[in-house]
Amino acid sequence: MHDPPPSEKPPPRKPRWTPLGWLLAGIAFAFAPAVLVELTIAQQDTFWEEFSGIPDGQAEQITDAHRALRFEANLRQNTAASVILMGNSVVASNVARRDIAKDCCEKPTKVIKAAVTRLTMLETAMLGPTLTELKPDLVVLSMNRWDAAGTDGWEGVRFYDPGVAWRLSNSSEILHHRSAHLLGVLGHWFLLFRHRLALLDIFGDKTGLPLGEMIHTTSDQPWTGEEVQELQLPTIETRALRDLSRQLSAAGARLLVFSAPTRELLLQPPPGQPPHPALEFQAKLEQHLTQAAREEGFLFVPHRSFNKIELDMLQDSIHLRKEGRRHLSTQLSAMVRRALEADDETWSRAVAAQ
Amino acid sequence: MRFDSLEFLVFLGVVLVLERCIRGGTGRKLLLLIASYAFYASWSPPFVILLVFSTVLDYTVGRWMGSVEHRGKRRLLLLLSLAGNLGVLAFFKYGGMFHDIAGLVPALNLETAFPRRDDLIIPLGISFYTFQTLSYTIDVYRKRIEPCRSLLDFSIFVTFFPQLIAGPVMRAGKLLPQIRANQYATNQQIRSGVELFLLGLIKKVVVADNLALLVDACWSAPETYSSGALVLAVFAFMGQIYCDFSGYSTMARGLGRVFGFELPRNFNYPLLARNPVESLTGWHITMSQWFRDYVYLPVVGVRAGPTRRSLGMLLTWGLFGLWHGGTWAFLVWGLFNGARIVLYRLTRKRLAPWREQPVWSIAGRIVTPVVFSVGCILFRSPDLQTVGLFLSRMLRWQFEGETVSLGWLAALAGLLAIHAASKQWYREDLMDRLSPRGRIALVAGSTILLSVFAGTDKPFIYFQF
Repeated sequence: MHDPPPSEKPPPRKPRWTPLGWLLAGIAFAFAPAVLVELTIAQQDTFWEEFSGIPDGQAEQITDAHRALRFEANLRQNTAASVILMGNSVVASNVARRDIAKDCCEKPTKVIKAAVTRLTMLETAMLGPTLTELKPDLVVLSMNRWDAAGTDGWEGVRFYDPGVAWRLSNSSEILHHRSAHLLGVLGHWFLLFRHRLALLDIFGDKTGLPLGEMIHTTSDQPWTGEEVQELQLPTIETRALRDLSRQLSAAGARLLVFSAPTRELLLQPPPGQPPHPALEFQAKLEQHLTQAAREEGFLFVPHRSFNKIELDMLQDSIHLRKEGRRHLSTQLSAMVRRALEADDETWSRAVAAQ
Repeated sequence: MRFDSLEFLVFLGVVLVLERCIRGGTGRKLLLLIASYAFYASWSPPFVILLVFSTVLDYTVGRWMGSVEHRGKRRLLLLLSLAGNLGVLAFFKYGGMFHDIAGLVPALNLETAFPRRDDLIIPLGISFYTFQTLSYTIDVYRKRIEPCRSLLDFSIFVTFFPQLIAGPVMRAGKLLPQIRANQYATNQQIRSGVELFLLGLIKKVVVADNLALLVDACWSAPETYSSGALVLAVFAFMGQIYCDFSGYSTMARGLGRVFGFELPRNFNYPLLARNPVESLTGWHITMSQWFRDYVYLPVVGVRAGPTRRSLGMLLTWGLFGLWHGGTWAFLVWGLFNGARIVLYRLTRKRLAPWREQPVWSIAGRIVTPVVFSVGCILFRSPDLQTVGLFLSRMLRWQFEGETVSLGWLAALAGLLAIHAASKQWYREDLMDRLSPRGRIALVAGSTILLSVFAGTDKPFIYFQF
């Protein structure tokens, strides 16, 4: 009789956890639900409401973030556009593309209106490479106080171009904003969990909106102008404008930036009362933009140039009624016409003279 | 770059990975030194020069002192170090105070000799690293330690980034041997280091930054708040400053352990103290020990009588108050704390029969933090007028004015209960006792807690000192 031979295979070892292993696993477990929620929200988000500017003139409602991304794809399809009207809801609702297309040139000119609600300057700069691919002659862009000193920062951008991002910000700023975004997402997740029943009770049935969107939705507070004193120019948005201008300039396109009149800028203060703080803000901003325009070679049109627009032509603080829209588009198309007709020397003189 | 920022976590990760990649003593030391300078330079590169100046001055003085036996020459070298270090400190930190004092006597026309407060930027952590290097020079002068021979080791002693900005203030006798030994952290040290870092981060980000919401609101316009709200704000500030500073110190200790270094505790539950001595010696322990060893004992001596000891105590605490900054409020805060200890010591023997009673212990636990809170008003207020306004509104007990949610009271009570329970049961070995799954759960829970309850992103209070 022989003893059975000893097993040649050693007993299986239990996997050992290194400190790095359990640390990373813990962080991954913490953030996994947040990332899942972020992905879910991205699929359902209806935050971006409006989209107009399809070349054939048909307006389309954006119902989710994916459609906002399609905006960029649409831009790419519209090759050989002569004029691109860019901006947020000011351009979307206040500028009549057809009027500009009709009035700006003698010969037929392709004019695209590419406006997205809440389009920020950072996003516009991110679209720079796409815009230059279209080889436009002129890009017309609106720039008001919320475009120049927004609070969204990096965490809100829907079009992300790392090249542009790293030109506009340092690593610390980008990391800070991205981490704030990530932590914000986790906060949303927790908030959803805590208030899910109350939220469903209050909003769910009435709006039919996904829960994630309700958390994302922000309310517009009346602007009281507290930031005027704190406004430090240049902001990241004005840096983004300069960057966009350089991108367009390198591609041979001209840039015309305008500030549209808004209610707070047209409002006459009651006797003895100081003017609305927006005027002080606007003055600082327009001075800065004029300087930037001279240095970067684009044309800036201040809000006072649209002198035919009066207070009663506004239906709310920024959106124009039909008559106001007509005035703005007429004046803008005259500017577009001059910009398109000007030779290089005339353009340079106009830029230097502003 | 703050410990509670993502930039720092990335920086830490890179340094830790590089540290593990490097084999060989000098390389690791060089990495720690470069990391420490990079950490400091991330705040303001030009002020690295001051750090280098302090390092070179004290290293040179220390080496020189080691080679000289003549008492007079050694004293001269000590004076050189004191003048160099305290001169820089006085210029940057107290220039504004000297300017104000000179302004009190305009006839002397000395105002222009000193910079105004607004014109000065106080270099980050200057009083911490200055006091640390001074302790080295004084210890070498007293022949308690041997002078450090390696400039690299000494540079790490001055600049070691986990404790560079806000302590704990290390003694050369404790830190230099660890630097010389140059040992990597064990797994047990890493486990406990991670635990301490997370704990400190929670104290700072979750507790201190959120309590700051109430504190800042009440201190911004105390005249508009009711007395109850102000009382709550004072206790909230006690919690805020404790969690802010002890959170930083705990993170520093955790980081030290991750790199294989043991840094001392800086707090010993001062908010649960039964008497002023326990309370004040349990707060910023390393700095109060510094003042004891290098100010109080040399001034008073060991066998001094009660009067001299009392005066010495007031002087020491007055200086400790001024160490925080050159304002009258800090001076009064220091003298107030000195007076608390003097009063306690003078009455200790007379009240001895009472001290055996259980009620004494309970009363002590209530009265001590309440008196401590008065010091907190001095500490938080920008000037003595605000202190007066705060105290007068609190003492008159006015119901008019804005109130704050009772939720704050519940939150403070909850925090106090957790604090008391942790004194009883917490031994800083949770990660060690947990299985790997438990550790993962703890890290995940802490991360969620930090993410969800992240407060107002405020800088550490003690960075200004």
